Order: sequence, then structure tokens, then C-alpha cells
Amino acid sequence: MKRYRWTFWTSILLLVASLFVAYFGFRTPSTTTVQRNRVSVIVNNSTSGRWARFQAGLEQAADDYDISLNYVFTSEFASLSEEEKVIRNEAQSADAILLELVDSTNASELIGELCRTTVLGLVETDATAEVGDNFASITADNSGIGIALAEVIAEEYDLPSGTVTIGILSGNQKMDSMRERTSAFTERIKELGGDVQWIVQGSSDWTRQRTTDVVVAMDNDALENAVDLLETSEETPALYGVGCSDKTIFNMDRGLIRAMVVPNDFQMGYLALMDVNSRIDAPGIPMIHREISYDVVKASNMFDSYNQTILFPIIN
Amino acid sequence: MNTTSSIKRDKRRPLTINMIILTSFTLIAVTAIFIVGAALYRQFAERSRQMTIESAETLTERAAASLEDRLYSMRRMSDAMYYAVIKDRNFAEDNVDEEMNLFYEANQDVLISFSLFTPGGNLVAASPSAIMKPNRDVTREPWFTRAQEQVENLHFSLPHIQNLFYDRNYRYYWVISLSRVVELTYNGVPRNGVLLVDMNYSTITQMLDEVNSTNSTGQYMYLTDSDGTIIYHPRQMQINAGLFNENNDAVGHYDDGIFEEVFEGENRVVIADTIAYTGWKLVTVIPSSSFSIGLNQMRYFVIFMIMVMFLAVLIINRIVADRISRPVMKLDDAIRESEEQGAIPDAAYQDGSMEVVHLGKTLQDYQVRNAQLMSDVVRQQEEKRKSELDALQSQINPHFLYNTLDSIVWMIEGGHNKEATQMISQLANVFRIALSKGHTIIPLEDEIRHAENYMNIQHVRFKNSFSVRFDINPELNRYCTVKLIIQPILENAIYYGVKNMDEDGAIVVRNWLDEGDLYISIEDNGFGMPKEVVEHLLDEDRSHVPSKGSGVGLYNVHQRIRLRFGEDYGLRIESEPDTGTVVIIRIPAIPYNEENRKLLEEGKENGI
Repeated sequence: MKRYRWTFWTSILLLVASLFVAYFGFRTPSTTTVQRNRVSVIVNNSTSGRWARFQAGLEQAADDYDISLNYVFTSEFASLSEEEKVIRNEAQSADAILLELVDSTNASELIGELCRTTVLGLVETDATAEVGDNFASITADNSGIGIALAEVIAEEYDLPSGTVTIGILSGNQKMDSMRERTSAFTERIKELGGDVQWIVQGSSDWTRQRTTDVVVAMDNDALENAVDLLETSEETPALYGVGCSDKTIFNMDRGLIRAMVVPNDFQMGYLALMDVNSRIDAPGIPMIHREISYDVVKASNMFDSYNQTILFPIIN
Repeated sequence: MNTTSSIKRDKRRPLTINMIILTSFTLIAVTAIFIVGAALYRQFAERSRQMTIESAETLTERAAASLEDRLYSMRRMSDAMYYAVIKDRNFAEDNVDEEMNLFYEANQDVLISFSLFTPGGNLVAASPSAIMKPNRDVTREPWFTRAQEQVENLHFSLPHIQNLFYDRNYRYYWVISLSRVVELTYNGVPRNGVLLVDMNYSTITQMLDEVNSTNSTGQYMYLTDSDGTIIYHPRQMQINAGLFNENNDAVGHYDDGIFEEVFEGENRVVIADTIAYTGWKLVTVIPSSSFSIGLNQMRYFVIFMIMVMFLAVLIINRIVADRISRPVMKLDDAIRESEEQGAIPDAAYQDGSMEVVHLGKTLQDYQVRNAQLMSDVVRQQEEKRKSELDALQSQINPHFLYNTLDSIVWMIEGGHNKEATQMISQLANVFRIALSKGHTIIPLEDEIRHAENYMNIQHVRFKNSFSVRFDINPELNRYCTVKLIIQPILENAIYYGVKNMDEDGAIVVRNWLDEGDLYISIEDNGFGMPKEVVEHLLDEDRSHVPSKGSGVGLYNVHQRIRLRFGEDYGLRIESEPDTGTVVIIRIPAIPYNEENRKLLEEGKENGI
């Protein structure tokens, strides 16, 4: 009999509790907000036009996946230690960091440390095997880009039957990706019969170098720099390179740049953010290493229906 | 198998009536709640789906109307530019730059540019003023060729980057071009030029983005041309990057209306609406997941309500079950109580429904009648016991009296008057004690005295042919005993033990106390009895026992003690042929007083 009374009053209690929950659950608006994943993006010289499409991809992914995106304002990093200060500052508050390192050759320790405390995605940065496989990475097909550049020059100059002298603006050679890109180009162009006269790193004034038929810039900044120098130079070498900024596209449209390899930076930004966000939501999933595609564009085909979607992303 | 289950079923504890009512009512109610809840939920889901589709259809129609309005305004601008500015103007002497700029400035929020071209593709006028790209052959552009091919129509292009003019800020614009053939007059000679109105593509994307942003359930809207080529899609870039797929190729085959399709394994509803004049299709996609998103809250609410109703039903059923079963359970409790206590309750429970009241009354009658019957049985048993005692008692007196009177007669005949007088006196004493005012329980002292008087009589009668010794502890005199239990044993000791022993016979009477019981032994050194005789001396049926006497005296004494004090008490006989016999009386040691006497005489000692 006591047991019956106990169940009876328990039922009453549950009913009252249910009505209480119903009152607050259905009558009052929910005050709880879903905590969004916070991802910081640190790239060298973030305001550079080189990142415009990458940033558009990031923002699109942030919108699709409801991510709190912090695209950190940075200027040109003089060294890895300078960049490291920014990274450590962001690592304190971010769930994940997307990172382009200015010097990937000496970054193993930093990457290893970051992997232990946060979800890390490397952009255009090849890390050595020492740090294991605890980070995501996304990069262009740098070897492919180098080879494509060599082949488009060879086609223009009818190699190997023709001749062409080449100067290379190799960009930041502290980055593995840039070294790989330059190396692939050099090897391929030599195979095809091209004559590499000089290789200049960084933003050095290459106009003092020996005059060549072609100047090839291995990254967007070097290509923009080359455009600026050509505007004022009496030399008129044919300009090729890797780029994706409005300025380089405009100058290709003008004919100043003969051909350009354009990595799909929108895709890079979108996938990079999607990958680290997935890792935040499901820490057990394996990290993804991606290589994104590129497109070889000339002035004659830059407004083709496909190329224009790569060069001029539609941002909703 | 059947046997096992049968055994298990038998061992199962039966449910209470309360639990049966509660369980059955709750099961029925919960089943009904689930059926009604499921039916309502299904009805709601279907209605919700219809409303979602109707709402999306309305939204699509409005968006299509808005889009048509914008495209119509473009056509009107083109018409206005043509009929008000270009037509009838002599381009050999005049230009339209000023009017074109005015038109542009009035509509620059939606326009990128106006351009007017000769049949050969040369630029006649443009607004805003810009430098046309050198070596630009517009005659190969689709918008130019289509205008030339169908001169009577206005032609809308797909979105594309405007690549006619340079922008020194490195800016490129996505535009939708409206082209038409216009009549350019040169000194009265008409020629077919092409008027190009580039509409800012963002005016369409912003409008449709706004529509899409109002829906957070996964429903979205996109725009294609009549072949299914995408003009606008909220995930245009993801589609371009290969990160998202759309079933736009199938849209080209859709007429206006609502369709259900399966794309990439997902069921979805598609609403297609054709944009007037262009043949474009505005498509709204409602994934099946968006229906369930809207229903999730309802689903939780239905589940919650079912839970609440279940609890409410449980409580109500509990109350109902209690009300129905309470009288039966109280009746059951009353019966259990009477079973446990072994007592008849004052009154059986009588309340509740008519059946329970009837049951209670019947039970009450049964209990009263049963109690009365039990009382009668007890009373009858008591009377039977008393009558048995009386019968046994009455068997003794004539036996003893006959023997004694026989002795007195023998004395008188022998001239032993003095001894006869003494014997009569002894006999009087014997009878006085035997009567004991009608009491059957007397103090041991009186019983011993009675035995002594008896033995004195017998001693005289048998001319002192045996000796008698009473080895009595006087401290035990004030214990209770049933009267006339020693004398019959002494009588047997004389007649069957020492009577014919030529002055060597001896009888000894002793008493003692051991472990709360009183023992009295009558020992003789007479002829004794064989074992088989001794074993059956106290049996009720002694016909098969070979013995000198009938054994009635011993049996009487034994039965009287047992009837009074219980089965643990009575006589024990030990005998050996040619050695003698010992008869030991065992009775409880109960101090003699008036209260104990009455209790014993009423038969309370042995629990009767």
C-alpha cells in the first residue's frame, strides 16, 4: 500500500515538473545561444590583393557553416618570430587557426606546439614530417603550377625549337611551397629548352639583372612588383607568373601580363575553413591535406564563362 | 515445456485488483492517446507541408513578379533610350552623349552602362564615359549577334563580366546585358546599330539573396535560363568550385508548377515559375529536411503532451482504481487481519459498491456463525471431558466400597468388632476425603492421608501379611493432585503384588519434586509382571494382554491425570517378574490454593 502511495505522489510530482518545464519551455523564448566555432586566420600581409579571393572563400564558408571568423589584420611579417607573436595571441581565444607561415623551414617546433593546444590548418605552408599529422593543410599544386608556367612559355616561344631567356622572381624562398614551385618550373623549362638567366628572391630590383625575353614571377606579390617595375622600365620582357589579385588580372587584361596561373583561392579559403571547423566539431576525425586546382589564363580567354568565375568570384 | 511454463505460472504472484484496474485502464488510455497523438501529428505534418509549399509558392510568385518588374524597367529604359534619344537622330551631325548620361545618372543604381554600337561594332556613344578596350570586336559577343539575328526582340544575356571598358580601379562588374537592334540614321539613311544596356547583376543577386536570407529551414531559390543554365544561385561559388551540386539541368524540362524530385538521394519539392519575356525560370527548392525542421518543435510538443497526458491518465486511473478497489482491499485486509490474529473481527468491512457490501455482509454472517459453531464445539468438548471424568470417578467408588465392606463383614463375622469399628472409622475417613466437598483437585496431603486410611483398612483385612511404608516429604503436601490416584495403585499392589507373599510383602510410597513436576511412586516387591504385560497396561483396549486383573484401576488413574494435565503426565510402570513393580505418578507441581484448584477443575491447566 505504501508502495502505491509512493508511485502516486511520484506521478503527481512528475506531472507538476512536466507542466513547469512546459511553461518555461514553450512560453518563454529561449535565451540560450549556440556557441559558434571561432576561427582565426593569420596570413602574411592580409590586406594584399593576393588574398581577396581566399578571403571571399573564407567568408562564404563562415556564412554556410555559421563560423565566427576572425581574419586577422597583418602587415608584411619581417620574420617568423614576428608572426609568432600574432599567432600566440590568437591561439588564446580561437578554437582553430588557419595559418600561412612566412618561414616554414624553421617552424616545426611552433607547429608542433600549436597542434597540441588548438586545431591548426596550414595554408600554402608545407610542414616537415617532424610535427606529425596533427594539422590540416591546404595548398596549391605548386609543382603543377611551376610546370604549367613552363609549358605555357614553351608554347608561346615554340620550344624546344625556339629560344627564350628567362629571369625568375622566386618570391619568398623561405616557404617550402615557393621553393617547390620554383624548382618545378626551373626543371621543366630547362627540359623544354628554356634558358634561365637569373633567379631573384623577394622584392629585389630585378631590372638590374641581365635583360631576358621573359620574366616569370612565382607569386602574386612578385608579379605585382614586376608590373610596377615594367610600367616605368624601358625593358619590355614578356611577363608571366602566378597571381590572382585584381591588379594582376587587370594587367593581364591590358596585355602587360601574357599569361598567368591562377590558383583557385576561393576554393582554398572555403575548404580550409570547412576542414578546421569539421575538426572542431568532431575532434576524432582525421586531418585532411588538400591540394587545390589552378587555371592557366591568358588575356584571350580570361572572360570565358569558366575562367571568369575563377577570376571574378560572385560574393553573395 | 508446457509443464515448466505451467509451474512458472503457478509460482507467479497474482496481481492485486488495484493493479489490474490501473494497468488495464492505463494501457487502454495510453494506446488511445498514442493513436490520437499520431493521427493529429500526421494531420499537422501534412497540413504544415501544404502550408510550407503554399507559402513557398506565394514567395516564388512574388519574387518572380519583382524580377519581372526589374527586367521590365530595363526594357522600358531601353525603349526610352531608343525612342526618345536614338530614333530619328541624325548621327552624321549629332551625338547622344548628353541624353545618354542623363539616362545613366537617373538609373545608375541599377545600371553599369549604356552603349551604342554601329552595325560594324564601333562604339557610337557610351555612358558613363570610358575608354573602350583596344581591338575589342563586339560583333562576336553573343549579345551582339543575337540582337542582329532577331531584330524585333530585346535580348537578355546570361550574367558575365563586362569587358568593354577599362576601369582604372581594377574593377570588373558582373552584368546582365539587354541588347536590341536600333535604327541609326545617318543623313536620312537608316542602319541597324545595337543598343546595349548593362544592368548591374548585383541588383538581381541582392534581391534574391534577401529572399533566401528570410528562410532558415534550408529552402532556397535560384534562377536559370530556359536551358537550365544557372543565372543566380545562393551557392553559385560553391557550385563553380565543385563543392555543391544543383539539379538545374532538369529545370529546363519543367513547366510552371510544383514538382517532386529526388536529387542526390534527397526528396525535395521544387516550385518553378517562368519569368515573362526572358523565359528564365525562378526555382524554389524545398528539401524534405526543411519540412522536418518545421515539425521538430511540433514533434517535441506532441511527445511532451503525450507524456503529460500519460502522467495525468496514470494519476486519474490511480484515483479511479483506488476508489473501485478500496472496499475490496479493505475487506481483504479485514480477512487477513482475522487470519493473522486468529480472532473474529468485531465487524467485517461493509462499504462501496452493492456487490462488496453484500460480500461483506455475507462474510460477517459467516464469521459470526463460524464463531458460534466453534464455541459450541469447545463447550461440547468440555462437557464430554467432564462426563468422562465423572464416569471414571464413578467406576472407582463401587469397586473400593465393595472390597472394604467385604473386609468389615469378614471382621464382624470373625468377632473382631473393635477392629471392625476401627475399620469403619477408617472407611468414613476414606469417604470423607473421597468426597472432598465435590472437589476433584485436593492437596497431596489429603490424598496421602486417604491412602494411609485405605492401607490401614487393607492391613487389617489381610492380617498384616505385608508391610506398608509411607516415605513422604511433608514439604510437598501443599501441592495439587487429582484425588483418588494413589489408592487404586495401592489396591493393585496388594491384590496382584504382595497378597500371597507370607509376610514378606512390602509396599513403599514415596514422593519427590523434579524439574517442576511432582512424582509419587508406589513400589512393591511382589510377583511383578512380564514386559509384554507392562507395555499394554495403560492401553484403552487391554483385552489381548494376559494379566491377573482387569487393569481398569491403573487405566482410570492414567486417563484422569492426562485429561486433567495433558499428554505429558500420567503413570509410568516398571516391573520385573519375581522382583516387583514400581508405579510412578507424574503430575505438574502446582501449589494448592483456591484459585489454582478452580482453574484446574475448570480444565485450564492443560489448555482446554
